Amino acid sequence: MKKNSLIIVLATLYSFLLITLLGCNKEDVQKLPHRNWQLVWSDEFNGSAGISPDAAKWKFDIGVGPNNDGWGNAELEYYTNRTTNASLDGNGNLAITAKSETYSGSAFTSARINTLGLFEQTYGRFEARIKLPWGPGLWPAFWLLGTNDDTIGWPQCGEIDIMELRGQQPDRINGTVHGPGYSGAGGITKIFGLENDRFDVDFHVFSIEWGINYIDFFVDNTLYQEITPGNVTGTWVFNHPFYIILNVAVGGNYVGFPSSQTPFPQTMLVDYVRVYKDAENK
Amino acid sequence: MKNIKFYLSITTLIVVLMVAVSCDRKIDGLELATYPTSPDVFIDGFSTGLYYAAYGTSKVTAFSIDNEVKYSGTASMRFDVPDAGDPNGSYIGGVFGANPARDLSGYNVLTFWAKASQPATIDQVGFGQDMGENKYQVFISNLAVNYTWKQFYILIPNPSLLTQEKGMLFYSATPQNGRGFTFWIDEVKFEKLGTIAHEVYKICNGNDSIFSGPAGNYTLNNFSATFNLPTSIDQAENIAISYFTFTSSDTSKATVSNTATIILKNSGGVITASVGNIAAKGSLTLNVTGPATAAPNPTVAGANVISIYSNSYTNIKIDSYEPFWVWTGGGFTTNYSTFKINGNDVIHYSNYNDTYNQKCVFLAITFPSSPINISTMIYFHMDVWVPSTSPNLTNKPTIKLQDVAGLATQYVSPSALLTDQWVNLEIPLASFSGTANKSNIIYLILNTFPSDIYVDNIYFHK
Repeated sequence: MKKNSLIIVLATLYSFLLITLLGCNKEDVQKLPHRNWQLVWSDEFNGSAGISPDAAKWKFDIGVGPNNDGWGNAELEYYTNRTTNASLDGNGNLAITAKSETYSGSAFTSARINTLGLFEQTYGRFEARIKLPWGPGLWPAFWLLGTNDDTIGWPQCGEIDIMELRGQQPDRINGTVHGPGYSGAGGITKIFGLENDRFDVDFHVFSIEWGINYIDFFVDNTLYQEITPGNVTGTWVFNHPFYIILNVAVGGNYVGFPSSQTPFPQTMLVDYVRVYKDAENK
Repeated sequence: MKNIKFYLSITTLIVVLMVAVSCDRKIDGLELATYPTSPDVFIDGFSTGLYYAAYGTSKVTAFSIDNEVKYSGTASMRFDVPDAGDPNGSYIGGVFGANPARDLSGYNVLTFWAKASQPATIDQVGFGQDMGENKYQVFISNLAVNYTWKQFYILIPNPSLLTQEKGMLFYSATPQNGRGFTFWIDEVKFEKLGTIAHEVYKICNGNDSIFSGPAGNYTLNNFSATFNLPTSIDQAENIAISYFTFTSSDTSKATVSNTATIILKNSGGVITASVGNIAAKGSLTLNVTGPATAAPNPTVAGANVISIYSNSYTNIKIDSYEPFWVWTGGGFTTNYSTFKINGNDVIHYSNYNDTYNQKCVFLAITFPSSPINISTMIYFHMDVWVPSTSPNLTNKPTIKLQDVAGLATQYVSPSALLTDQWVNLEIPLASFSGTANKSNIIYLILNTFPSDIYVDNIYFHK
């Protein structure tokens, strides 16, 4: 009887511990619908140091924007296609470098590359592994723009900002969508913050999973935001092809001016960009 | 037999015990004493073991605990800076130490909040001042404080070193434009923050520098440390030299001590540094351009010598070994230094200002407060070492003596000086031409020498 009591006590204790431990673990798991992601496009940025990103995959945006207004955001940089602003680092990364230098009337240079006309896709998983720059006034981004931008304009074309970071807040990023009725400062957005860590000391994976009537935002495969037609304050404009943009802006409405304390040059390292399609078309 | 077995067992036991005990007694096997790891310095009062000691020359009553003003909790540290000229001390400062010492190796930053009664700057706040060696002192300077609370961070450069640190916090502050003010500090604690990043350490201002000079002792300098705050702004801090580990690429060419003293022996050594596992930016490549050995010791008896510069004799009183003479339209500025080669003093003149396109050494060694009488002397002697890297190697030196009345006598060398060796100039005074009164000489003027020279053993003798 005594032995049995001991067994019962131990069994109870064991069960309690098991339940407690498993209970904790279960809370950390996010349940997501099954997707059968198949890789359809990627750039791993493998190549010799100093060469430009693959011209078969990327185009450069050059200058200060088509309306000479800092790309619609009062950005301060001049985007170039020089390898000093965008090139492979020889370690499997693309390096987009913002520099403080006078160039064609601008006080800073940087680079912005896109896949318009080279790659576009409706729906799927878009992800990039990135180590971000830092400093007040730096505005790195990994984002998508509707390919019909030229014909119907922005924000009707739609914009999905998979990751934007304000350099003065190196521990948090925003995931945002813009469309008609919810553009600019009215974009539908959410912050993802790291606890006791920052995005400029190591690589992190920024991604969206995008399907019919939903866009899920992830950092390091943690879902932190789902946006559906019910969340936006206007028309849902995310049922057509989008293309990819990577850039490091300097200054602009979103982030403010860099200060004398902003350390330059600043580099965004992109380990890869990968795009998947759901084989089951969900 | 049973007893034998018993004794064998006992013997075996003793041997085993001796081995075991002797193993335990090895110094290597002893565990080091551990120290408390508590992070709090001052939250709402003195943390366990914390004590305060004001600097002796400061206003020692400046610090108090304020139960009215606080960032959070129930109390803060209050510091009252006096007006300039306060008879009780015109600045404030002191150390908050821990007894016992603490193990801070698990943290990477000291944080605190501060505000003031007016916009002001606090001269220094830091940790690692233990009223002893201050071996691991770190501080930030000119902290801008205002009416609202602001958080400050002081990075621990290499936390693994701070396993028994007594210096928890120190500060110093002075009046602002002659007037006193009050500031408060609260929530002082060591933390392990992942939001602090991008430590950068530099030697030689972060440059890959080259130094060329004579063999001898030098001090490495121009250290700095910065790190990036959670707001992504860089913060500079002053860190003790003990945080750096210095390395020489070739100790047969140059050595470097823990305190950054370099002994330069031969050309080609490179000094680098690191803090923990972070390589410091900058390096110093060292080349020997001057003499590696001292000039030969003079052999003339002291009684027959009037010495201007030599370790072998008693030198006359010299007013200046480089008076930087200036006259209408400008003057010459010179790098003048002395150093020792195996204990023997040597003068180095270099880097002449070439305002007048003189392209030469031009200087005077002056002794008007003790004019010398060289009328009975026969020779002027000087040892000169000209590095082959010196500009203007073809210059033919002129040695000039000038008397109290301004009259001069001089000797012009018929040839340039040989390089990379000690040249022992031994010039008969009879070869000097001019009208100077040799019983009343006050200046020795070196003119039209190459631009970079080392000199020793300057004397007259008979």
